[in-house]
Order: sequence, then structure tokens, then C-alpha cells
Amino acid sequence: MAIVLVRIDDRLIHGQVVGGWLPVIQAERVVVVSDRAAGDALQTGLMRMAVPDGVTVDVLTLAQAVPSLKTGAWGAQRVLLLLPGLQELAALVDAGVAFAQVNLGGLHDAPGRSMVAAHLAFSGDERALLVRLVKGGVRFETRPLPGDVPVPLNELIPGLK
Amino acid sequence: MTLPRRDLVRIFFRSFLIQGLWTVQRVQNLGYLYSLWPVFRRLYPKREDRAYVGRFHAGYFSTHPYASGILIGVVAGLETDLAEGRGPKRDAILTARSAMSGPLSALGESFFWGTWLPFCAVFCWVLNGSAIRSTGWTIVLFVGLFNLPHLWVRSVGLWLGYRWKTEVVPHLVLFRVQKMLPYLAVGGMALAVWQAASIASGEMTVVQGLLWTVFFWGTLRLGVRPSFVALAVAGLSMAFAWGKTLL
Amino acid sequence: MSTALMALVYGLFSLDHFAVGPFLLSRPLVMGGVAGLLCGHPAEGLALGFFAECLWIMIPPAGGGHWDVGFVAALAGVWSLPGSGPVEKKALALAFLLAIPFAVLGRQADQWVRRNMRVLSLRALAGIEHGLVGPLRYGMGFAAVVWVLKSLVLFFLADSLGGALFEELLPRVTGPWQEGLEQAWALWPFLGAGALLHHFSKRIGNGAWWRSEIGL
Repeated sequence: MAIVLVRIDDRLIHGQVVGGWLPVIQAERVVVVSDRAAGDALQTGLMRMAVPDGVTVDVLTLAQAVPSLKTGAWGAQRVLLLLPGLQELAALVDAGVAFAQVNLGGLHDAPGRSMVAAHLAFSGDERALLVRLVKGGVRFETRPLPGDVPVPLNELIPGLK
Repeated sequence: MTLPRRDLVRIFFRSFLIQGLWTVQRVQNLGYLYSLWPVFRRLYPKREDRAYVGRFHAGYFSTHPYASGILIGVVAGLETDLAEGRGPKRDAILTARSAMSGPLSALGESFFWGTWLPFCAVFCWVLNGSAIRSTGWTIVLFVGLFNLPHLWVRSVGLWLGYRWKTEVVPHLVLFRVQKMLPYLAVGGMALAVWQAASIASGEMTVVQGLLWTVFFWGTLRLGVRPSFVALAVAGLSMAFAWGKTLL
Repeated sequence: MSTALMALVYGLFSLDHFAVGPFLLSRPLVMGGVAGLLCGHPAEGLALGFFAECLWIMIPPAGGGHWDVGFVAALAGVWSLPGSGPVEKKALALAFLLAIPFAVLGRQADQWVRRNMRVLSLRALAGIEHGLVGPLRYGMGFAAVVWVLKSLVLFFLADSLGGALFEELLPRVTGPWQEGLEQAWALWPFLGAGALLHHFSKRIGNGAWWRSEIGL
């Protein structure tokens, strides 16, 4: 299994992911790790429908995902790992999964969050999580689409690193 | 199912304005609220209730503009159920909405912008060169052909979304849109090759024209932006012509 | 006269990718064709439009950040097509090349206008939170009017500046420059076809779909 991209996007599978990233990274499998989505048959069915033919979607809870990620469960397939938020990423890191680089694709406007970029908004808790993860060695890059210019995180959040 | 047809028609026409006041923070929320307002007005005659519902639905919202018909229909149906007491909890409406908006945006992007638009363009290009020599009719064909699925998805999606609410999703799956796309794409490629061949039969041979086409495809595969390739073609052609005068 | 008409058409049709659920009226195909029809050379205008459409086939007509590709076809048509008599290929190529930077500038204008609509959207939201849809309706109407005005001003500015540049440069395009531009105009449709092939091939992806059809 080669995780070609780890993306944090609270809209999970949407236009930018399917139209922008999938053709570029040529992923054969999309693994969504979200307790909420795994329990929602509506969302799971829709996500399966939204990806091109030939791409499979697995929607896993955190508990199911950790052993699969640690042991490399999907053979030689190219995998896109989708997480709905920083909380899921932190949980995976705490459980022992290592990530080199994570794409911050989209954390959209919600109560409690303040915007730092067109596609990124963080709450206080999320900022704290970011600081912890960066200190732990995870590198973040912020690009909604592969063709965009990546903006370093410390430009968006002053005081990071 | 108690909304009069008049309201649904009003929502349908308002859904065309879903991008009418777009914001960076919450994208299409205002257009979405405007489209749903006839429903809120019908279900909640008191202004305070409307304010509450409006505030509830005012969060971040973004989906494909054509798929907004389905989403607005589903939300209208769920709100109607809720107001009449047989419905889901209010939070469930927002959960359903956010669960649906992402994948519908992906579907709309892959089908409409990614496949149907270029297919209509190349189809009209080929027809313009052969059967329809008139510019006006080509434009009419392009706009008309493209908008047929658009109007269909918006109207039928709104109607079925309103009637079946979230049960509309299993029916959407039956359409197997993703199965259709590669066939449309292959058809589009064939038409593009046909068009390249028919343009070429003017000043250069068909083989030369097809070779140029494949060459340009190659440069684009390497990642060069199309506009840069166009500029490069112009620049290099002029340089080449200038170089010939030196010889 | 045809310039004024084209400006009006462009102004109205530019609402298509801004406010009204896109009908593809703002696409270069339509803009180029209409420019050709208004200026008396429909076939050449449509050819411009088709080329621009193929070149920018991956830019969808919705969303906030994308630039208004129909502008290129509209400007290029208005500069290179008016009048009777045959259209020179070098004029079409030159007009196309000159129009591109104006479209890029147009994008900055678009984004500037969108940023300054914040006031309208904040008032609309405040109205909704009090149960009133009036400010929202007013905001949308005002935004549409501002957008059309922006498009008209942009078109006239680009037309006068770019048109003047075009008039200056066109007589100087002779000899090898002319030959080069005419060669470019002859080659560009193949670039358009190649762009379509590239775009469609990405839809086919890694071939898994046809492999599963055949049973591999």
C-alpha cells in the first residue's frame, strides 16, 4: 500500500478531490477515516457513487483504520487517505501511525472557527492540535488543488514553529 | 407532501440564483437561503420562527449549482416533515445536507464540467465543420444540448428530492453516472481526432495534422499549461519564420 | 456600433458565471460566435471561440476564483473582425494574443468586486437572522447590477486600450512576423484538439473501467 496523499477536508469527497486530485495522483482506493461517516449509510453510499469507476471507497472508523494503516492492508494499491478534521489526524498519530506530510485541503467556516485562508478556518482547539502535531514532526502543506501554490503553514498561522 | 406546486416552482426558479450573493466564508449559503425562503415562509408564518430557521440554515454551504435542485428539494421535504411533526430532528437535516453536498458536487464536476461540456463543444465543432454551417445554429445547439441534462437534473432532482427526501439517494445510484463517463470521454476523443483530421485536409495532410495533435497532447501531458503552449506556438512560429529569412 | 452591442452582450452574459446558474452563455464558444455574428464574420468568430473553449476547457463557469475566459473571445472578435472584406489570419492571431493579458487583468477586477460585495452579504445575512429576506433580495439585485457595470467598464477599457494597441501593431506585422502568426493560427486548432484529447484522457483514468468490462 502506498498512501499517495493524506488530506484533511471536512467535506470529504467533493469536487476538488475527485476532479482535482484523483486524476493527478491516480489513486485506486480512497480510504475515509471518520466515525461519523462510517455510521451514515447515506453518506457512504453517496461517496461510493461520486468517485470514478475503478476507484474503490472504504469508509472506516478510527478503530478499524488504525490496524489497517499500521500493517499496510491494501497491497500495492495507491491510496488516498481522507480525514474530516485534525482531531482524526491527532487520534491516528497518537495511536502510532506515522505521517510524513499532510495536505490541509479544507476546513470550512463553522461556529467557533476563524478563517485564515479561503479554504481554511481553525478554532482554538484546532490551533492547539496543529501546534502539537507540528512539534511531533508532521509537515503540513496547504493546497486545495494540486495546481495551487502551497502556502507554508507558518505564514497562515503566525507563531507556528 | 403539503407544499403547493406554486412553491416548488418558485424554489425551482430561485435555485438558478444560488450563486447570486456569494461569499468566501460560506460560499452559496445566501443563494440557498433565498431559494428555500418560500418554504420557510409557508411553514413558519411568524417572523421569529423564520429567523430561527434561517439562522439554522445560514452556515457554510457549497455544492454543484446543478445538483442544488436535488439538495434544495431534500431540505424542503425534510423541513416540511419536521414542521408537520413527523420528521427528523433539526440536526439531522443539516447532517443530511452536508453528507450530500460534497458527493453531489463531485458528481456534478465530473459529469457536467468534466465530460458533458467538452463533449458538447467537440460535438458542435464537428457538426459546424460538416453539417451545420451556420454559426447561430451551432451556438444554439451547443447551449441547448448542454442545458438539457442541466434542466432535467435540476427540475426532476428538485421534485424527487422533495418527494423522497433522503430516499432519493438509492435512486440516484441507479443512474450509474460514473459508468457513462468513460464512454462519453472516448466518444469525445474520437470526435476530436475526427475534427483534427477534417481541419487538416486543407493545407496539410491528414497524417501531419494528426501528428501535430498528438504532439500537442504530449506537451500538455508533460504539464505545460495550454495557454503557454499557445503562446509558445506563436513565438516559435515567428522565430522560425524569422530564422528562414536569414538563410 | 457592433462594439457597443458586443459590450452589452458581454455585460449581460457575464452574469451567467457570476449570479445565474450557469447556462454556458459566458463561455468563449458563445462569446466568440456572437462577436462574429455582430461584426459580420460569424465563421471566424466561431473558430476563435472554439479554440479558446478547447484551450480553457478545464475552467468551469462557476465558482469564485476562476477567470472569465469568454472575455478573450469577445475582445479578440471585436478587434479582428469588423468591416467587410476577408479577415486576415494574422489579425485573428494577433487579437487572440493581445486579449489574453486583458482577461488576466479582468480576473483581478472580478476578484476585487467580489471582495467588496462583503458589505452586501453581511447585511443580507443580518436580515435573514431577523427573518427578513429583503436585504438578501436587494443584495443580490445590487450585486448583479454592479457586476454588469463592471463588465461594461472592463470591456470598454480593454477595447480602447487593447484596440489601440491592436491598430498600432497590425500594420507592423509583416514579413516573417506575419508568416509566423499565420502559421500559429493554422496550428492552433490542432492544439485545441490535443487539449480535448488530454482532458478526455484524464476522465478515462487508469483504464480500470474497460478492464472490468472486458473481464480482466
